[in-house]
Amino acid sequence: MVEEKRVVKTTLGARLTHWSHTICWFTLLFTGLVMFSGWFEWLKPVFGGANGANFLHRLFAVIFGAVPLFGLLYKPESFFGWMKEAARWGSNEIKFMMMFPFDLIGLKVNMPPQDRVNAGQKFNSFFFPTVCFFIGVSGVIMWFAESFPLWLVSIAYPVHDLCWILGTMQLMFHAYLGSLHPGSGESFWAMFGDGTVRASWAKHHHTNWYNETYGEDE
Amino acid sequence: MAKTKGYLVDTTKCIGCRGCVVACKQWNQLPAEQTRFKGTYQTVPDLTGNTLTIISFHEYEEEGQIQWYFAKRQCMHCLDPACLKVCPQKAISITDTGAVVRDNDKCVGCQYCAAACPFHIPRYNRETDKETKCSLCTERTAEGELPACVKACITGALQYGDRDELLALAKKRVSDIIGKYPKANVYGETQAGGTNILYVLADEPSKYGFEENPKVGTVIHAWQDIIKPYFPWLIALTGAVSVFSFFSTRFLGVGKEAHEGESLDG
Ligand code: SF4
Ligand code: SF4
Ligand code: SF4
Repeated sequence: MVEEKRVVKTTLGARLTHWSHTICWFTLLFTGLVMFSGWFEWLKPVFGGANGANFLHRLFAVIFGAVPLFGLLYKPESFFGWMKEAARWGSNEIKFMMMFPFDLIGLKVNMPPQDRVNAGQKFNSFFFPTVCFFIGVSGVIMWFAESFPLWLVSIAYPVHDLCWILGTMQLMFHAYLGSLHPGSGESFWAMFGDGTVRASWAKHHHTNWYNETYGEDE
Repeated sequence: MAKTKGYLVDTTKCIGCRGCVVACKQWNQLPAEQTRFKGTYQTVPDLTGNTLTIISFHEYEEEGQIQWYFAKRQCMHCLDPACLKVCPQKAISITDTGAVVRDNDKCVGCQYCAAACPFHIPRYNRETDKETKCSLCTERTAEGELPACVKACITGALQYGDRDELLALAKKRVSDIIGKYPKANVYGETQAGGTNILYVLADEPSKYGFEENPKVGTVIHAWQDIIKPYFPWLIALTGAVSVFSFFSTRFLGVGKEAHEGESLDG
């Protein structure tokens, strides 16, 4: 088989951040569940008891917060570039979002051409950082509860819980859509590998971006 | 209702000597804390991780005279304690005499109880990384002894016993003094669902720094009764939708047509 032309979709920095976030999110999720519900009693010994879980939760929380902060300070243009990219909304994006539920259950729809990141991914580009921001702020308040007024502390608890639940929901969808959903394999292996995708796939799924970056012609 | 025990604080008999505060420190072996003079006679400004009870001083000028209101502060030992409800470690329990106690080994210092308590009682101790609060001297009362603070009280302002009896006593006391103190009332009978620590107050609760009607905050309720039990199911729902989509997309065959045969191994 002839090697097909490949194009870069995700940079090394983006991939590293992606995976450090994934590891942090899951560690934080499971160490946090120990404090959330009695259903997860059995998890306690895994982390060395509730105190061990709390310690890990704080440790990974620091990494989880430090990585994007570092990225923001080190390469602000990359963050703002991402936000600018995600803020590009037009009729194609709105159409995509409206047709997405049909695509999800497997009905045939003709999706409008998409940029490097599609409308759903653009939505997540705002949704997920917002959720993380509130998780971080409420987390700091909970960590240093005695230094904050009680009313603020009592708001921090439901906010923290609400946000990790929303974030985990989004993550489930993201994990499924990015792997086992038909047509996602290419992006999936790009994230695990060197960040490149087949040119024909890129052209089909992210037409606008492909055309802008690599030209209309092959 | 099961018989519970507590004590009555008769503020009309309290002279603000703070013998109870010292006795509590001594019995619980808690270190004294440096405080600063802030222009009030209330030497200990607030409960802390090392101070389980204080006497709060409230000074008012009434009819050209200085009036003092003293009120002992400590855990109220609620009949339906909010702190117990929110504790994720089940570290807080109710003893068979109704005292609300915290198990130091189970407590992880998360401070959820502090945010939930309608009386703002539990305090965090940084050194031990635990929350602290009055235990109603359970170790003493189990041996038939009085709580240390009650024992230390020289004026009889503190009285330990069955809640029903203390409540009757408190009501009688209020009716006795109502002529002299027209706003006298019993505090703790109904507040926050009733508490085992009862007060005879000579005036409105607010004069003593008490809330008229202390309640567990709405956000705490929303958190405990709505978000915690129901919202996690949304995660299960997204999982179910994903599984459904996995099969329906393949069943409907769109994967092949619309995506030019790309798949995981594509
Ligand atoms: S006063 Fe606060 S700490 Fe004491 S039992 Fe009631 S809720 Fe718990
Ligand atoms: S600080 Fe301790 S007693 Fe209070 S809620 Fe947390 S684990 Fe329970
Ligand atoms: S009952 Fe015991 S722990 Fe509570 S305030 Fe009195 S002396 Fe302190």
